[in-house]
Amino acid sequence: MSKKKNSVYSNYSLLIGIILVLFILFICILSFIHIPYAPNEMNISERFIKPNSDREHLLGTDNFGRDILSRIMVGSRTVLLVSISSVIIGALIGITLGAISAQFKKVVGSSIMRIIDGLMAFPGILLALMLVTVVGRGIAGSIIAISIFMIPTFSRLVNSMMLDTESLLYIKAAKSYGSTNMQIFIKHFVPAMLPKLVTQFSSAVGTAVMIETSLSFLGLGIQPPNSSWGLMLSEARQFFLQYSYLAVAPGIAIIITVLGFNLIGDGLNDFLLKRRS
Amino acid sequence: MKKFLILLMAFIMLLSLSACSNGEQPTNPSEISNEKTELTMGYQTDPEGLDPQRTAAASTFVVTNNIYDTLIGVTQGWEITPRLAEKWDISEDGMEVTFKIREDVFFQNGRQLKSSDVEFSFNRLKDEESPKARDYANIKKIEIIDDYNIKFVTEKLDVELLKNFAYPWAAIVPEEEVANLKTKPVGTGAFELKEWVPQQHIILERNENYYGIKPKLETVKLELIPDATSLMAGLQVGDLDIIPLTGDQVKTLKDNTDYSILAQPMNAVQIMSLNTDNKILSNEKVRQAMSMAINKDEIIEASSFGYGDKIGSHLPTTSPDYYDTNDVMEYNPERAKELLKEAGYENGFDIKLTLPKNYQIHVDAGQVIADQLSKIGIRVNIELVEWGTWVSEVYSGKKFEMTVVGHTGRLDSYAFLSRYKSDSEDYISLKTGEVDELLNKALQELDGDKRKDIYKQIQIVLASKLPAIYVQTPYTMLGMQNNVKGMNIFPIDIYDFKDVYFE
Repeated sequence: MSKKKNSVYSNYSLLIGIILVLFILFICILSFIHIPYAPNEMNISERFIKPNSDREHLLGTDNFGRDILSRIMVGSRTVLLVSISSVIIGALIGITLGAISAQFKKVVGSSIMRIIDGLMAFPGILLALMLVTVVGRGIAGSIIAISIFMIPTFSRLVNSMMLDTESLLYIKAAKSYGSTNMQIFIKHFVPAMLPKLVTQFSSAVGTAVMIETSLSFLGLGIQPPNSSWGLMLSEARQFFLQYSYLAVAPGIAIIITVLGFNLIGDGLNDFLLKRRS
Repeated sequence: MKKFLILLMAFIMLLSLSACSNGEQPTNPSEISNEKTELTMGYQTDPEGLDPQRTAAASTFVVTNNIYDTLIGVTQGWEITPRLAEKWDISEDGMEVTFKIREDVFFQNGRQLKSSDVEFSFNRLKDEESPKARDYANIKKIEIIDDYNIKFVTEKLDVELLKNFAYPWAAIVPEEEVANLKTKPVGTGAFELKEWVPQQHIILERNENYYGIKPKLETVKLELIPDATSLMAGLQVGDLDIIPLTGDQVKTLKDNTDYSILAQPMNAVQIMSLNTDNKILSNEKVRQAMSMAINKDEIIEASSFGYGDKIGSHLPTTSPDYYDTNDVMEYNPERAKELLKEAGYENGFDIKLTLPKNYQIHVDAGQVIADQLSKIGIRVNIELVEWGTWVSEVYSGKKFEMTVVGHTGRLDSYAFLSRYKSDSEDYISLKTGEVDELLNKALQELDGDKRKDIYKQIQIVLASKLPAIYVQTPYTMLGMQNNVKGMNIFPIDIYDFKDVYFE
């Protein structure tokens, strides 16, 4: 493979993914600088305005006369906050657990990995639902639930990669020179695992977005009147036949975000693997 | 390719030919009975068993009223009519009422109904396991005169006593079947239960031994569809003959001649109950400020698309005792701010609003109220809870600050307003005791006009003391295929399929 072909520009999934995610990030950052209308302020006399029909509400207004664009913008904060922070927490715990179990293979390692296997047996949204009922609804509850859901994928990945790399010569060499486990982990394992972890991280964010919106769709995430895309979809449901545009905006926002992070994950995978080979 | 096309054409022609011949078959119109006798209705909440004396769930009574009968019934216009009882006599002092029961009534298990069944049913209604026992505590003696005459004696004078016999929970049940009434109801009504698959459907079948005019419908199928959009779709494709509608759906169907719409104010009120045990809410000025900050027209528009009547007190606009108290605390956000300042909450306060999440109308109204209160500085935190949680925490446990909910009305205003007695132990009550005396007086007042005047005074007191903020009388809204006739809405929460037919 020639070097020219392996640039970011020829990797379309990565390119499109980055554009989509940047777009959502832009909306999120913009929401801190300027929002067209107060997102929770109702204006009953101006409800159900179709998108841009009055040239003031670009995406129209909902059943309480709240501006949908503003709610989408503010909702992006919730979605990104919950999904990214829960993946970070989940990844940190997962990596640590995976590394510990790879290091101490016998009793500690195998018991950790069996618990992780048990966790993986639950379907994602079911596990999250169960955890939310235990830890409570709202932003904090969602973050905790999703990060617990994220632990197994990361620890499995780290665990298997470490077991693979362990037998390689340069690790053995480092060991024979007397490096401590911590030094070897940071200097050798982490750089070797980084590409895969980054890929995994990006697709995990996509999954987390899906779970967060599902939870808030089911009324277990952020509570009204605050806005979240899942909640907006759920509120749009009762007016779906008459005012279907209510569901379009949050739906597209969710698609863009999930697709964006997944494409980045895919693209990064191709890109990094090719570069290494 | 050509061959295939020819084949396809031939096939299509064959199909259309066969379709034609099918269409020609019923040459003689008199041979086919065009009378439809199977009604399908969509409903949203599954009943909590079909035993009328062991539940307080409205979803049960909606169904059971077709299976069981009560001694007397009520018309759309709030008038008492004979049902199982042909006639009745109230003694001069108003303390005794004697019913003459029809002699041609049989239970669906074949046994004849006698006054001993009436006695048994009311004793069952008054026992410990009955949630309505408190309402009938005033009946101190039930006396069987003979097989078809029975006398009820009360402890205190209750001028509205008769109305207590018309509620669906005052149904007459056969003693030998009570163990299984929850799943196998046996009554005397115009319909009997054919099948109930919980969370799916209920099928009622015409009772061929019914004593009155037999219903024209042979079966009534109630299909459980909680989602309003799916209900609407079911009506539009013709799967469902009758469905409950939301306000926006009424607007969509209104001009469509394929459907008819029944939209009437209910005998019910939507209120925002305030916990007066709370330190902030115990302040009357705070409650008045909140009431003035709330624009009820906006709430009605947002939650019911305008299908609601605003109220100022606890009686619905449909009640014969209703008195318009909307001007007692008129919408006035400026005055509301002043009142809040006088009460010492110039900078507002934080308060929790619990909403029952299964009832969209209350959730929507609650969100609008939260927004309106935020404009005078009151920060409302909304919490959505399941209906079961609402009942145990808010209603029974009284652990709440504010909540929006509906109260289904009664036939007599006393029963509906008695929660405001200072000793009622209800989740909202007027602990200052200002209506205690008025309520007692109303119960003893034989003169109808004077009684009405007492209820007027009670409504005015409630409108200014505000143990709750009174929002609206919601509407019952039903959408029907336009060939469905005879469906009516009653002042008690029931559906009556006896008179329904297809045209």
